[in-house]
Amino acid sequence: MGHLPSWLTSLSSNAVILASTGTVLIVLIGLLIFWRYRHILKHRPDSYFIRWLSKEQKSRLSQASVPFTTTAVEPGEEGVLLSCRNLKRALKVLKAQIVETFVLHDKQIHEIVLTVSLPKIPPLRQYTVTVKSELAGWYYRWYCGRKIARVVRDVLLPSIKTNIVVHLDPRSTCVPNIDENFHVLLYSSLKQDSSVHPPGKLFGVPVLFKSQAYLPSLQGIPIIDGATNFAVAELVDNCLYLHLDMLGDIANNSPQLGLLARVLERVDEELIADRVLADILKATNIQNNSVDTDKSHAVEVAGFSGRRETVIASLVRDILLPAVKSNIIVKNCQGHNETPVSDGAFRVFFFSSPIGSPYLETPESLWGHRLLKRGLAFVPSAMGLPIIDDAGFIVGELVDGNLYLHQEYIHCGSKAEAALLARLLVEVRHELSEAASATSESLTKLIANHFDNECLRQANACAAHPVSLSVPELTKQRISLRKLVKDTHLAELHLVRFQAAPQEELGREFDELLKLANVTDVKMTNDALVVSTRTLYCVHPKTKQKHEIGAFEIHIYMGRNAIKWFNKTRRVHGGRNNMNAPHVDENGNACFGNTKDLFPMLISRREFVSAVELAIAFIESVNLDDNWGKFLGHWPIAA
Amino acid sequence: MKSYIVCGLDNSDKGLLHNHGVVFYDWNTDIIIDQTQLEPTLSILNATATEAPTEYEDLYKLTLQFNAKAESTGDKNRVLDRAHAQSRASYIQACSYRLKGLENEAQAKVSDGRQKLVSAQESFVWLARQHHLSGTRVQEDKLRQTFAEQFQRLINVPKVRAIRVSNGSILVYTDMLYARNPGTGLLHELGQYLIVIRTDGSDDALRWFNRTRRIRTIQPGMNAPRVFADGTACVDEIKETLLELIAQFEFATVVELAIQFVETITNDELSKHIEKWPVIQEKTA
Repeated sequence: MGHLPSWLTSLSSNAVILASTGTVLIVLIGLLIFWRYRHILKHRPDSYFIRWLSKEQKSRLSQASVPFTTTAVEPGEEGVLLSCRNLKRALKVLKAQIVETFVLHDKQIHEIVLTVSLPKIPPLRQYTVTVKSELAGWYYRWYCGRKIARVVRDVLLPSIKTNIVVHLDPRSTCVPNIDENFHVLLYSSLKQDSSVHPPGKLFGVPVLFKSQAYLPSLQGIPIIDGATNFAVAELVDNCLYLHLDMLGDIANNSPQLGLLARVLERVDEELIADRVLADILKATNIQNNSVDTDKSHAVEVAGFSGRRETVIASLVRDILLPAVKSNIIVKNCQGHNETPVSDGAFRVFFFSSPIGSPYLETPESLWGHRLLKRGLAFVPSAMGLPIIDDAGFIVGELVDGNLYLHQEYIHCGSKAEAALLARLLVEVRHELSEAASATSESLTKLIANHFDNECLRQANACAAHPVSLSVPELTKQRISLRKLVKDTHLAELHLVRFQAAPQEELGREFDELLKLANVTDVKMTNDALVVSTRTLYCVHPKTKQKHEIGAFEIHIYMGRNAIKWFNKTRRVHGGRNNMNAPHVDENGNACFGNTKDLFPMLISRREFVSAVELAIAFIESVNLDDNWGKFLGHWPIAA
Repeated sequence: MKSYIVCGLDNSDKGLLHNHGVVFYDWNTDIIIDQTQLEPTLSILNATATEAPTEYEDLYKLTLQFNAKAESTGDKNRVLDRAHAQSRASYIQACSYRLKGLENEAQAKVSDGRQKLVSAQESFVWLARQHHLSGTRVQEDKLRQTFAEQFQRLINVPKVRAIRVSNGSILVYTDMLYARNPGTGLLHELGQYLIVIRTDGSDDALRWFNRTRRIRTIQPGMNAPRVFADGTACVDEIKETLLELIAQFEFATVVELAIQFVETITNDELSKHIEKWPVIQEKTA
């Protein structure tokens, strides 16, 4: 047998090396995969929670036999729970992707934030989402900017239907750009002079970056997290200002895409006024079949513009017009009185009343709808029928063919405000319908029924929550109430007296000074209040003998919060020569002891009655252990 | 010529000025008058004013002090001599800066008291009603009969023009109400009222709203001598009685007392201002 050629030998040895290296690599990779798989298995949660899925989405999951459980992590925070095995299938059915995951209550349940992929419709695909930044590096713009753009595209583009520009730089241009694009400004506001600390959680997502958040400028529609009442963003014309820092330190952090997605979903709900109004009308169960027949009447709106005008005009047309059956004129009266008009048209006056002014504090919510702005509301004129919300607040008044709304109520035309107005108009419609169909007799009967029902409702409310109360306990409550009434009554009379003549209160103080025991006269000089006293005495604590100190002039210097005593009867040698009193030297200055700070405090607060009483008591007391006080015996004993 | 921004006027004041021929222009919620209108404005409003410059030339901001009275000498029984009177005036001047603090203190006490009173009232009505219903042990039919009788009594209360019921409130519209000043014997026309009774005693239980006129006395927009602009009344001992009656569904008696409350003039600081309501001849009442 001959030798193998060298090239074959070297080839075969290389192959062996390669094969062994390859085997080792495969084993290593296999171990890595195995380790990673174990890690995922170990840390994978049992379930995923997805909140705020629509009915349609839940229906699709059901139809695709994806099992889920409807649950709530907190009261009011409903969602669905999916097992981890079904997550992938669920995402496929929903055509969604996960933008953020975070641990919920324990490591067994994670919450995921989804966005639904943009539908593959050519009209939508023509629009672009561009990310702009001057501060971020190219990599960040490419990597994170893509993800941000995708979230914005998936959530907003179906509603916006225009190009969108996302500005990453914080505090970027504040002036809304009037162009065809829609602008999303991260970490910005039209009002940048004030900020607040954001809550720990918004829209169910933990807030990771704790930078201060901006406040809304109130020039647009605030996007508010219902749980915390925090304004996360503001929609002003074609600009969306996000008040929170969702990017953090660009060099070290990934953006909070989950929070961004949730905020944009809320924005989407506000964006299309028609859709908002349709939802609201549906929610109020308004029968629209009469609208078709009432094309002869119109709604005219004055004093409102933009979205507010759209919202008001639509709701008044759809809810009120069928009941009124005449033209409706809506006016923003801005707090001025308006006289009722009877010319056949129905009028709606926002923030007005026939007489009076706004004096009532508006509550936080009406019919369960939170008010964006509170402020003051008109008091009822008593000329018509009050429109009252469930909690008893008088929201407006129907005066013949005029509806007066006591506050503006619609400040930006948001969905919440539209819902409130719809509810209010439904109440007005109800009152109008009743009035229209009633004769005098039937009206009395109707009112009697209402009265009956109301009293019975109150009685049943008591019966539903019975409280056993003995007569003595009720008497105790009565006495407590009586005392509170009396105290408040006295406080009110005092305030009223004060408001009538405020300076009288000070004059009364002067009179009180004159009435003080041992005070004979009170004078004001240029810089001091001078109080003259009768003869003052001091009783020796040990001998109990009464020593006559003398009549005094007490000088209270307002400018320097100081006090001096001058004896008008005698000076006595004591701790020093010519002492004015046992603890007052020849110059009228006192050795204060523990009252050192008390006099200046009383004088600075102009509590002169207290200061004079204390000054007299100071003369009439002695500390025998003091270097001056021990000379009390030098003062003559009173006859 | 100077012009003035006059602040702190409500719609009644503006109406008064307008009716007396004062020319003014709206400036947000305030008004602007020129120098020629200043004296008539202060006279009509019975006020004095302090002016402060604004950023605009010849335009000044006026702050009004209403109910300007001559300084009384305090205790009626004490006649101060000239020196004392002078000292008293100097004292007031020296201490004037405390005025705001004193007013705020007084206001805070009242606000605190009223706030406690609102919840205490509602709680008391609830408990008293519980006691009343458990004591009577009536069936629903009997209750309905009682309520029907109560309603009949209610609509027959003198001076009640109309009744409505809405969302936890009974609304009572009255005829013209009058009040006689015990000091002068004159009869004053107060106005027609809407009295709102909360059936559960909440929200201060009772409010009065004058549909005829609102007058500035101690405060602007008073609905009656003892009823403030927001419709609440000066806290009075009658409160307890009213709450007790509401708890027992005795709304007819509540309305009678409510009317009587408005038409009664007592000796307190608020009632003194009845003179600001128009006097009428007896035969037209």
